[in-house]
Amino acid sequence: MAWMHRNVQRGLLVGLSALLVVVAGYQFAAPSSGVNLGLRTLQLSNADAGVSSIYRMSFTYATSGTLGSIAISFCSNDPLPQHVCIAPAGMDTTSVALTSQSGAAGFMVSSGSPANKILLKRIPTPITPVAATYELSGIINPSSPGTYYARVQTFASNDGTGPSSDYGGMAISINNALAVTATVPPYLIFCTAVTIGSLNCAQAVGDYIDFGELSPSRASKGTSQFLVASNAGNGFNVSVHGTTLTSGSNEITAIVPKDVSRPGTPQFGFNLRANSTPGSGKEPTGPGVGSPDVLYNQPNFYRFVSDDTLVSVSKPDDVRLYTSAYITNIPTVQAAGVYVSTLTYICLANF
Amino acid sequence: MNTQFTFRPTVAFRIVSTMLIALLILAGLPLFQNGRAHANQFAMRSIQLSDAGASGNTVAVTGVGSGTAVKYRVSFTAANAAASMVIDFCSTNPIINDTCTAPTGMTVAAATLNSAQITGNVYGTNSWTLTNTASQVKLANTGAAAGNIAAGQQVFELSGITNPSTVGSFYARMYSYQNNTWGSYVSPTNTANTVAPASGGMVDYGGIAMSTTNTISVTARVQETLTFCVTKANPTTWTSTHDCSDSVVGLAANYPTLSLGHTVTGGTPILDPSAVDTATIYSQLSTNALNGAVINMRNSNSTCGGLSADNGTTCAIPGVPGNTPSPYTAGPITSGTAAFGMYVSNGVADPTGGIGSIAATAAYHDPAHTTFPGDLWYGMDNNTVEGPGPVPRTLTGNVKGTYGSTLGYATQPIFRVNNTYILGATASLTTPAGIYTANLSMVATGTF
Repeated sequence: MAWMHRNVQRGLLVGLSALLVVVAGYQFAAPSSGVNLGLRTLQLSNADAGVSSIYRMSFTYATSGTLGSIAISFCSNDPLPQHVCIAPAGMDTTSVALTSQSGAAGFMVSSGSPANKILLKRIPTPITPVAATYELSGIINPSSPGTYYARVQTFASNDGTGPSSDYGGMAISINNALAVTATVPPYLIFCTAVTIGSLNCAQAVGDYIDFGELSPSRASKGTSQFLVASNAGNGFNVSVHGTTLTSGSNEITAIVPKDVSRPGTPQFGFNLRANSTPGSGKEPTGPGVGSPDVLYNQPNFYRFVSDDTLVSVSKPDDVRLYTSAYITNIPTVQAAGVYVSTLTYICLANF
Repeated sequence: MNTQFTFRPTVAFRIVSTMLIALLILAGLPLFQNGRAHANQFAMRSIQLSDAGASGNTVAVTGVGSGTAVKYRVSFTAANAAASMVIDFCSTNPIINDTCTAPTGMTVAAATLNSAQITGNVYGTNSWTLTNTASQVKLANTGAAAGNIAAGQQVFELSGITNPSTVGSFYARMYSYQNNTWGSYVSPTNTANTVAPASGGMVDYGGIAMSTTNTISVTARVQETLTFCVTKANPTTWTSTHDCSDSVVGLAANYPTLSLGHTVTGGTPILDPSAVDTATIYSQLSTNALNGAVINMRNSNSTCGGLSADNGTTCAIPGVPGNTPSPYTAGPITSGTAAFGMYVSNGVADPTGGIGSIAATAAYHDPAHTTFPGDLWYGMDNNTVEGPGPVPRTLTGNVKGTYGSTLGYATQPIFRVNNTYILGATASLTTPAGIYTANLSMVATGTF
């Protein structure tokens, strides 16, 4: 009977295990080798390939315990700490500096790490789950565009050894720089005429001023205009060149220094202002901001010296219209003749 | 030659026994239940465990796989009525009256009975109660006879059981009795199986085998991903993979280098007061960042935030002042008033399976002014003070700041979302002649 019992037991074990209800199953459970860092982000100040950048790393510690070091590895293959890390080509963290830290602080950069790794260390002290931020400057980005990964592990030890407490991965993207170029060509708008309408050189009219019959009892007057605008970065100037009114060997004396109109005395000169004596000329107009040189900028005072600078602007100026107001006086003994002067206005822009 | 046949009774007996074992194993082996004379077997009997993990394992300390707080769902078809039953748990075998060793680590001492009916009459609110030890559950109907087990299917559930701590098979022996004091039951080896039911013997009985197993740890890791690219090629022209690895994106001709201007008499495009000149680029972003992502832009002319002809010392073509300075919002660029800016479209999912969207920020997108070229507003934020961005843990500010100005953002994972960017610029009559440049670094940041 004992034999029978043993065989029955064996048979039952085999048969019942196979045929009766057997409850078994594979159970699934989470790994217990560390916890994921929460809300983690890695923000770069510059994502261009091969340039220096600031890396701002934020995450929330998940585990309470002792914290002594943080190991950060940059890899080109994946963010999984169990895998071999392939260093991104061109990346260099050897000059990294920890410029700010918050949450769990007191860290310093440990020297001697490879070019793709950073070890932050401190005196091991306890922490509880807390949000932390670390800003790392002086990191040279990988030299090629693409996706790269950061693996972060925390340790109780102060040298990155031993089991990790928390871990987390982050992905970043390195791109080609968006380079924008625009060319602003140099320009100079300058024209002279008796009149220039609507601040537009296309409406410049006339190149001949007739003073008429000169008289020792009154001043003769006339006007011309010049328009100027330029984007010369260093500005521009306008100068006048020529001779006083001349008839053969006879001339009418140019006014030097500037002086008021004195009928009966030999005078030839002009200014760039509106005058009352005699009534002639206009103030400069237009959106530009330039103004006449001091020698030609006083109403009722006139002057002429060839090569004088009439307007000088040190930077680009918008359109500006200047009116040259001329006067001529002669004495009673002025020799008869046809007196002529040819004046040339020159604008020189300094780009 | 005579061949003698030797009959060996011992061998024959073994052979017969083995054959009987094989034949009767499916029938529940009634012939091998010691001394059973009066009771019937529970038919269709089973105990289903909610968790087969061995208790005390190191893989799962609590919850599924820990072998604790387990529910046992007992099901059988009774042949006879009964007012009480006993369930003995043994590590040895399910054979009634055989030696029963309590499974190591198992305890049913804290087991409770389902209060509501499942099937049949065994449930708490029907006056059934439990009397438990570490390896035994005794159930009894303390109410009226109408609440007894009747012939037919019975299903009830025991909760709060701790499985054995060893991996392997263990067994339950169940027996029912007419009265509600478990008849003449004494112990697992003295179950009153030879006594008539009316005299306290078992009414029905049955053995069940169960098994604990190792808890298997399974980890599946989805790695963090973020793919971002900027290109001159319109995503509608991407022909191979339709993502950042597309061959069209990789062409040198599509690198994001732009020249703003128009040609007057052929030759180099120029910028002048007569027009607002534009150029278009595109980006695509994919990320599984749980909390979304931002796209920030930073201007290399960090002093002035516009286009500069003197390496960023001054910006004679400044960033467009915008419609409102604070908070900064997009505004118009008028030809002849020097300005530089960018319009950002809302990001839309690529037709080739894209998911999600990117919202352009108000600094670069005014929904009332999105008509190109006639009514398009631009931005180049030089004002916003650095602070928290629209996605957790990110910063936003102005284009001169360390982490730049936010162009757009997503608040959840996205896949192949495309944005269009239109850069615009114009010069004034007083914009100094020169070659103006800016390097715009576009940075995508995900919060995982």
